[in-house]
Order: sequence, then C-alpha cells, then structure tokens
Amino acid sequence: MGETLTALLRNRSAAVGLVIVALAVLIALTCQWLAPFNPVAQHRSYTTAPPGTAIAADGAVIAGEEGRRFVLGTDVNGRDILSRVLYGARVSLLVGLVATALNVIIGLLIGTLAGYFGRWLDVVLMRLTDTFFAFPGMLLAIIILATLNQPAVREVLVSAAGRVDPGLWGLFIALGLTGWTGIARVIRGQVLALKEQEFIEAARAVGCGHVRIILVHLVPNCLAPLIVLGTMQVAYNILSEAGLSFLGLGIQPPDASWGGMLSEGRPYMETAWWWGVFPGLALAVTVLGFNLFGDGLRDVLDPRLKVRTG
Amino acid sequence: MTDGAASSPDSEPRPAAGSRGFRLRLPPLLRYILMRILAAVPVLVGVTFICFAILMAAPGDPVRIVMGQHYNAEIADSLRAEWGLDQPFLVQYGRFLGRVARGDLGKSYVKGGLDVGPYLAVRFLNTLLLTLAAMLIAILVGMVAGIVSAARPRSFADYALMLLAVAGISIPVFWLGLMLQLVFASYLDWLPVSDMKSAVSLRVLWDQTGGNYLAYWWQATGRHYVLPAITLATVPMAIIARLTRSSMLEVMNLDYIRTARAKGLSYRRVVLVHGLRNALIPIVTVIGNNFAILLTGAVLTETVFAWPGLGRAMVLAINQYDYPIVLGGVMLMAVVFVAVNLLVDLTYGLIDPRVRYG
Amino acid sequence: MRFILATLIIFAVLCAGCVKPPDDTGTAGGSGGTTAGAGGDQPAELPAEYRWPLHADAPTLDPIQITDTVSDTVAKRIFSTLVKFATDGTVINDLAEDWWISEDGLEYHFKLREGVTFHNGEPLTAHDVAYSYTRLVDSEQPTKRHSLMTYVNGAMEFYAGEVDQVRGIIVEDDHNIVLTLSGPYAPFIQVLCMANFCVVPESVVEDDPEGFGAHPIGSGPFMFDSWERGERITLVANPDYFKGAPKLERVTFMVFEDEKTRFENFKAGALEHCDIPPSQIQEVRGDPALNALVQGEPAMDMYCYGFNCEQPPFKDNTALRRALNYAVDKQNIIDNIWGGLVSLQQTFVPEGMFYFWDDSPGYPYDPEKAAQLLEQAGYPGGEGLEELVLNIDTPLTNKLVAQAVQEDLRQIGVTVRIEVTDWGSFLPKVYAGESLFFQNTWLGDYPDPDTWLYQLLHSDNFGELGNITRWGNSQFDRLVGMAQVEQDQARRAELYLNAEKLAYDEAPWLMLFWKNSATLVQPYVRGLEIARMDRTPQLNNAPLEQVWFEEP
Repeated sequence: MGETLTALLRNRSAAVGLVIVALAVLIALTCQWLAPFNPVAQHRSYTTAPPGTAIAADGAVIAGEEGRRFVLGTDVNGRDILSRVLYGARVSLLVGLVATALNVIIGLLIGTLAGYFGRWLDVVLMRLTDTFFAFPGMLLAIIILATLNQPAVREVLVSAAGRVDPGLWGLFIALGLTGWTGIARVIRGQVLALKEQEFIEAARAVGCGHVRIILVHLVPNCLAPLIVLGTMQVAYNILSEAGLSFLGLGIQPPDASWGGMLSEGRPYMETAWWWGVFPGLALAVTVLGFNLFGDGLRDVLDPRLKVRTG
Repeated sequence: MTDGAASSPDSEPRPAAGSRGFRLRLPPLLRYILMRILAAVPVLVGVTFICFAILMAAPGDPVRIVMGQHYNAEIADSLRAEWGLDQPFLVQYGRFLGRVARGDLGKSYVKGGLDVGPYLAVRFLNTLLLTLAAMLIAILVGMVAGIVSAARPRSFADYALMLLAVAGISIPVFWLGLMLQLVFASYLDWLPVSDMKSAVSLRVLWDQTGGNYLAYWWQATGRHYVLPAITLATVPMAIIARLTRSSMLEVMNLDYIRTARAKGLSYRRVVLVHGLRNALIPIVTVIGNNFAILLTGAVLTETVFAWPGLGRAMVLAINQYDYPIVLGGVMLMAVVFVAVNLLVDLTYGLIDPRVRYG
Repeated sequence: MRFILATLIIFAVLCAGCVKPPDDTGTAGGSGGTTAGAGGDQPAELPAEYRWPLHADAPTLDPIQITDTVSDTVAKRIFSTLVKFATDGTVINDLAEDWWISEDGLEYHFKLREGVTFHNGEPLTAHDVAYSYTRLVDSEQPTKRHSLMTYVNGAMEFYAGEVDQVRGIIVEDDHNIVLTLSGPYAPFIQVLCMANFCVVPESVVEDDPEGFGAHPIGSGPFMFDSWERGERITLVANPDYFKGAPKLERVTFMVFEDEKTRFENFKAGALEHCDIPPSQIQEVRGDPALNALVQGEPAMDMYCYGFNCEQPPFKDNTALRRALNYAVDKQNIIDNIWGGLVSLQQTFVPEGMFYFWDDSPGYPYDPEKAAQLLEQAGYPGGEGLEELVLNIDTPLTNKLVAQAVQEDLRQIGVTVRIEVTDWGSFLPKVYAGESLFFQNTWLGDYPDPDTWLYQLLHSDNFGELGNITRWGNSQFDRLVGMAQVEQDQARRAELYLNAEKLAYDEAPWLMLFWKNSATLVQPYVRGLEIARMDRTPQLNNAPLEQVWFEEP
C-alpha cells in the first residue's frame, strides 16, 4: 500500500489528477461557504452582466452585498455564475459517485457470477451485457430518464425520495443502470483467469463454499482493475450527467448544474459568452482530473490493463 | 472509456468444427459469420424488448401530442385503437415484431403518416456521412500523434501529445462544439453555424461558383462538415492516439524489431513499416468500435450543430412519444452496431493471420 | 493505409451523390436571391422565390386533420375557404362572392364565384364545398376537428352515424350553398375562416382519402410541388388563381427547428423573414439596420399561468390568487427575458377585437399589496402555505420566466417548485385537473372574444375543452351565453366587458403577457401584411399572393 502510494505520487499525471479531484471534492463539500452569492438569488438590475461587474451601493438585493463583484458575470436572470459553478460541482460529483457506485455493484455482481459459474449462466449474462451494450451511447439513459420525468412517474419518485430532489434520483437510476457493461466484462475476464489458479483449487479442496470463495478470494483480487475502471467511470458519468442536463432531461431549474447552465446559456453565447464558457471549463477540468488520476492508477496498479481497455 | 475492445473473436466461445452437428459443410468463415448473425438476433430482440417495455410502461400519451390544444376524447380513442395502443403489452410487442419481420417499421404518430423506414434511412445517411468525416480526421490525426509519441517516448512532444489526448477524452463534446461555433462561426464568420446544407438556393450557389463542382460542393455542404466533424472526432482521436502509442511501444520492444535495428535499418523505416503493421491489430478493433459508437450516438454533436441526423431524430421522437420512430431507430442502431462490430472482427482476421475461425 | 483510402472513397462517393448541381429544366427566369439581409450587396436579379421559415415540419396537409399552426400556414396557401380573414381581423370574401345571414341568425347563404378551378383544372362547385364540410364530420375519414361543426344541423348526428347526410348543408345549385344552424352562434362566420374548412376536390379525395394529405390539390394561390419530409415544402404559383396570378414564382417552406438557426439564415439572406429569438433581441435592437426591419404588432397569443380553482389552496381563495398576481414583477420579465418582444397582459381579451377593455387596472407589481392580500388569504408571510408545484413545458424561455416568477414569489414567502415536463405529458396532467399551478397558453383561433371568454373561462368547458383552470362563475356563464346569441355588436361588447370585469376580480390566472408577432423582414419584400392573430414565423393569414420583391 505504501509503495503504491509513493509510486502514484511520483507519476506526474496521477499527482495532478489527484489534486484536481481533491479540489473538486472540497468545493463540492464546502460550496455554501465558498460561494459569494446565493446561487438562485436574482439580481434584476444586473442581468447578463459581464465578469467583474460590481454591485453599486443602491443595487443590493440582500443587505451586505454592496461592492461585491460578480467575478464570472451573471446570467439573464441576474444570478451569479461563479456561485452557480461552485454549486454545480456538488451535483456533478454526487451523480458521478453514486452512479458509479451502482455501476460497480452491478458490474461486479454480473461479472463474477458469469465468470465463476460459467456455462449457461455465463452465456445468459453475457447476452444481457451485450444487449445493454448495444444501446448506442446515452440513448438508453435518455429513454429511461424521459420516462422517469413524466409527472405520474415523478410523483412516485417524490414520495419515495422524500427530501432528495427527484431529478437526482432519475439520474442515479438512468446512469446507474446503463454504465455497468464495461466493468462486467473486465471483471468476468479477471475471474476467468483467476479461477484456474492454484489457490482457488486449494480453497475448494479445503471445502470452501462458492460464496466464500467469491467474496474472500476472488473479489479482493479484482480490486486493482476495479479501482481503475471505477475512476474512469466517474469521469464518464459526470460527462453523461452534463450531457443529459444539456438535453433538458437531468437537473431541473433553478438548481445549478453545469450541463443545465450550458443549455440555458447556449442561445446567449454571443451576448453573454461567460454563461456557457465557465461551466464547460469547470466540467472539462474536473473530468480531466479524474481521467488523469485513473491513468496514473492504471500505470501503477496494473500496466497490463493498458492495451485491453484502450 | 469503459467500452473497450468488446467483441474480439476471443470473447466468443467458439465450438469446434462439427460439434454442433451441422450437416452443411460451410467454409469456416461463413460459419463464423452465420453464428455471429444468429447470436445477434437475441441481442436485437432484447434491445427492442427493453425499449418497448420502458416506453409502454410509462404513462406518456402520444395521442395528446398529436391533438395538442384541440384535444377531443372521441378522436383520441379512435386514434388509440388505430395505433393499437389499447392492446395488452405483449400483444403490441408481438405485432411489432411481426411487422418488423416483414420489413415494415410502421408510420410515425406525430408526423402524420410518415413511413418510419425511409425517414430513418435518410437521417441515418446524414449521420453516416458526418461520422465518416469525423473518423477520417480521428484516424489521421490520432495515428500520427500516436506514432510521433511512440517514436520519441518520454520526450516533450510525447508528454504534450498525451496530455492533449487525455484532455480530448475529458472535454465535454457539446461544450467544445459550442466553443468552436462561437469562435469560428459567430465571431470569425469563417464557417457556417449549423445544419448540413446551405439554406441558400442551390441554383444560386451553382451560379456563384461558376459551375466549378468542387467549389459548389464546398459551399453547398462541404463547409458545414468542418466544425461538427472536428467536434465529433475529438474523443476517438484521443483514444486512437493513446492506443497507437501504447501499441507501438509494445511492439517496438519485441525481439524482431531489435533485430531489424541491429541489422542497420533506419529508425524511421523500422517504426513505420515493421512496427506499425503489427501495432495495427488492436488499433483497427478500436477504430471499428468507435465508429460503431459514433454512428449510433452522436446525439450531442447533432444537437449543437442542428445536424439532421439519427441521434437528433431519436431524441425528438422520445420527447414526443413517437414510439414507431423510437423503436425503429433503436432497432436500426442495434443492427448497425452489430454489423459494424462483425465487420471489424472480420477485418481483424484479415490483418492478423494468427486468427482462425474454424 | 488502405483502410483510410477506402473510407475516403466511400465518403467522397456518398457526398457527391447528395448534392447534385441544379438541373436546368424548370422555371425559367429568376433564380434564388443572394442579398445579405440588412443593407448587403444588391443582387443583379431579384429573387422570385419566397423562402419561408417553419419551426417544425407540418404533420399533414389534409385540412380535416390540421390542428397545428404549421400545417395551417402551408394549407392556407394551397387551398381556399368560403371566407377568410383580412389582416385586421375582419371577415372578407374568398371563394364566396357574396354572403348573407338570415335575421334569426340560423341561416348562412353563400354565393360562390364562377369560374374557379382546382389546380388540376377541374371546376370548383358548391358540391365540393359540401363534400369538404361533410368530410369534417365523417367518422370514416381521418378527421380531428369535427367539433367545429357542432352548431350545424345534423352534423353531430352524422358523425355518430345516425343519419346519412348532414341536413344543415344544403346545396342549392352549382354556385349556391346554405348552412343552417341549430341555434344562433355569432362567431360562426369566423369559424368558417379556419383552415379546417378548406375546400378540397371531391373526385381527387375520394380516390385516396388517406394519401391526400401528402399530395394536396386545392384552389389557392400556390400549387403543391414537392415535400422533402423534415426539410422543406415547395409550392409554385398558380397562374389561374381566381384573384389573379401571384407575383411570386415559388414559395419554399423550410424547416428550421432552432430559432437561432433561423435568425442566422435570415441575416445571411437565405430567408425572407424570421422571428426574433428573445436571446438575440439585444443584437437586433442594437443594430439600426436590423432594427429597421422589424414589423408586427401585439398578437392574440396569450401566455400566463393558471391556478387550479378546484383545488386548495386556490379553491375559493380569491385573495390568494390576487396576492400572487401583485407579487410578480411582470415588467422585469418583459424587459429582461423577452427584451420587449411581448406586451403586458391586463385583460382576458386582447386588443384587436371589436372592443377592448383599455382602462383595465391590471395587476401591477406591488409586493406590499401582495403581502397584505396574502395575510388576508390566511397565510401571513406565506406561513402555512405548502409548496406550489408549477408545471411548465420545455422551451428555454419558459424556464427562464418560471424562475423569475419563482423568485418573486419567494420574496413574499411563497415557495414554488418548478416541474418541467414535455408537452405530451403536460397536457394530460393539466386537462385532468391534476396540476395545481401551470402554464396556460392560448392562440386565438379567430378574432372574437368568444374564443377567449367562452372557451377558456366558461364552466361548460372544464379540462380539455379549454378551461384548464376550472374556474366557474354562474354570473359569468350567463353573460357569455347571452353574448353568444346576441346579434347587436354594441350590446355584445357590453356583455363581454362585464364578464371580463367579473373574471378580473376573481383572478383565475396569474396574468403575464401577450406575445407580439414581431418579425424581421428583408427590405426588398413588399406587400407582406402581418395579421393580428398570427403567430410568427408562421404568419398564417398574410396574403402571400400580394407579395412581390423590389429593391428599396
């Protein structure tokens, strides 16, 4: 563990990636203290203000805001872009992590079962994986989300979800249920390779049950590729969430989300470019961070993975 | 990205020749193709079934969209009967499969009786053209970058290119598209903002360019490809670059390359001729996979650039509950995906003589 | 390398095949225009082709199936109706040379012009008119708007299959037709101007009722030429048009779903007119050349939010509804989000009818009054009031407006949660009365207060018939009912005015704005008149046959 960590830090890209990821997580956790404005507060006299505009003494919506600057400008409703970008980090990371967790759980389950038990279970599960894999890009997620967004369905979600925004739940489900195929395949490959090894035979000879073998012997040995894949999957899910919000299916107004801001700011690109540019930049940097970190992890933990997962 | 080299021939359990009891003595290649097609059928059924289940399970009502502001219960009921929406789920699905087997993809609900098949075919063609352009760029730029990187490992060029590559897979595609649009189309006005063809009348363009077909083609549609193709190409370009680099590095460390160097062949010749040819194998697979992925999922790029392609048509249809288009589109995409993967695997066999299909 | 070569070749072949050089057969004289929009280069030859933007493809061109404005605008150029709207909203002759209504308001007599032919050369007679109208209530045909014929004698019985023909449609001879009603209905003559009453050739439709919508044949100023689905619909001028051949040669309706794309194309000179996207309004106002090209006036296109008056907390709580009205700064929405492209709504009936309540106080922005009323309503400072769920549909500007309203209401202590749904699920929810607080839009079908007051606020019409706020008031119903059968215009105005005042007091809606039909038009387009009841860029009632091009 110790030498892994040192190796990791020595790898330049991994180090940079780690820093970015840590920063993003930090921002997500502390945005309410970092943000200069309330992300949904509308300043009617400062709509589409360019970056750096300061609030004059008589223009404060809330007392105590005089002299404060809109560092990244405002949108057409007069909301501060910087604050919204900071809060957007929270949404992106939350969706990225939860959806990935779901992906990993499902992928692990299917991959292990398929690889370990083999034969018809393997065939069935791999067919299932192929089927989900055959859905192009985000299309299945789009279909699921469009369905979940219908009022009747959404009401069910609201009553079940309670305080959590039903939009978030929709994203968890849609992304969680569609991104597991790559993980399943890789885990299956690992399990297939591990299955033939001596220590498994030994365990079986001693009389270990299937469950014990899987949980105690197989899964821990899959951790390396799982961590790498998981990290890359977070990046992918963050991008997907942004894409879905961009299409209008994800987070609903007035909550801040990077994809949503891009979609709202798109028609105003020429007159208020800051509305669309900054959220996109934040998105790119965050995803870059996760990808770099994942790359670094892969270099350190399992160089063999390089060729197979491209 | 997690959708790596998915369906290389090795991942498919291949029975030994004759073990399935085939009476037909087909050449092994044909048998392989046949088996792949057969294996694909349950996938296709599965895809449409899942799609159907989700759409039908949800309470959304296509009849409402069509009727709009002037909704009328009687007419709505008759429309529902006409479209078979009042039948139980399995009956509807069965009828759908039956129709598809006959080659009829049905008629759109929202677009008044439009035949789904021809409509999707046209949209698919548009996406195909864009994807070809994008893949071209991706392959050219990606492979060159990868080769340059591999030729000088750990140099500044290497680090810079690979950093760009990671950036390439990290940048949100739609944001990149918007940026390109903003800079090159809106501010500089060098290229059109969106769409596939110029809205100016063809006759005018023909006159303007004085009958020069190349210039005419460029004005009419060529220039519209530039920005969307670059946007779409970014991710595959990055993936190809990274893969080319690692594949070549691996190959170049092999013994026979060292032998060639030892024999005195120039570095360049070694790299390009011997190294590349062998490194090509996994690269081709990835190219093919990405092609399939792009072809079936360029939704975001098409939205940003208002490209009249399949992805956009699908998103629109999903929002409008135009089930025939959604189902037909999903079916089409799945078929294309499977077909392209099959082609990739066959090409794989052509390139690598070690692979057998028997 | 072979792979790359192969890809290149395939690509080149496919591309080349898609854009052929225009063939030289076809209309001689006049090719498409090259003018840049605002003060660009002068072309050598002026275009005789009008390129008309549509925001969506038309679902159908069969009159009896038309329920949307896009099909409407194309159909009105291909077909003719007995009567039609002038741009100021009055009813004028089209196919009818003359018409009169009986004293009791039950008989409508029409004398048709002579010598009118369809595009295929066949003469148009009263039989075709009768056929077209009967078709509208024929349940064997794919009709969607049979309810428009409700007042015609025997129409609904025919639709139900109880009788063999509609006895209210009487063909006297080849050029005379009478329609009889079951009761006086003042707006009827305006209803006849709608696209659903376009006259189709009986012989052609009988041959192929289902396919007629894809190859329409009418008697209008332009003939159907071709239809590239999702791309464009091309019409060519009808040289034998009974009002004289149009000056334009062809009209191409081009589908551009994105408003920005339409705008860009207009600026590049590829469209003759376009609507102004709210996001670009600053650019337009700031550019004097573009600003000079704006035409249009307040339209009959309403946008407001409705309260579900059958559900708490809005039920029987007029003070609450009025409080919310005073709490919203509507001018802010008009200025900042819509850039002045819309006008404040203070009445239920828009300008341009035969009367207008011009001294309505409306509900100006007054947060103090709002707070007072809120307290009166039983929710001081918003306490005790549950979260209100606002249902809107997806277009971006709607979301922006909703967020502005949400913020304003938050200031007085009322919490609003915005739920964005696409149109298809929005409608059923709202029609069924399951939505509490929702977007309420209406484009008047015809310029008569009846469509506004009767359809939207009468208690007969709850739900899908038009009154989605489910507000009912017997006094209001009585007044509107009386006005429907009243023949005297002045008296009608009085009745309607009283009805409006009543509704105003009870505030069933959170009034917002009327959309303008502000349109950018190229400087060389002459004779384009934008009608009051038209939405842009559809401009359904602009008389295209009078348009011509000439350099300023």
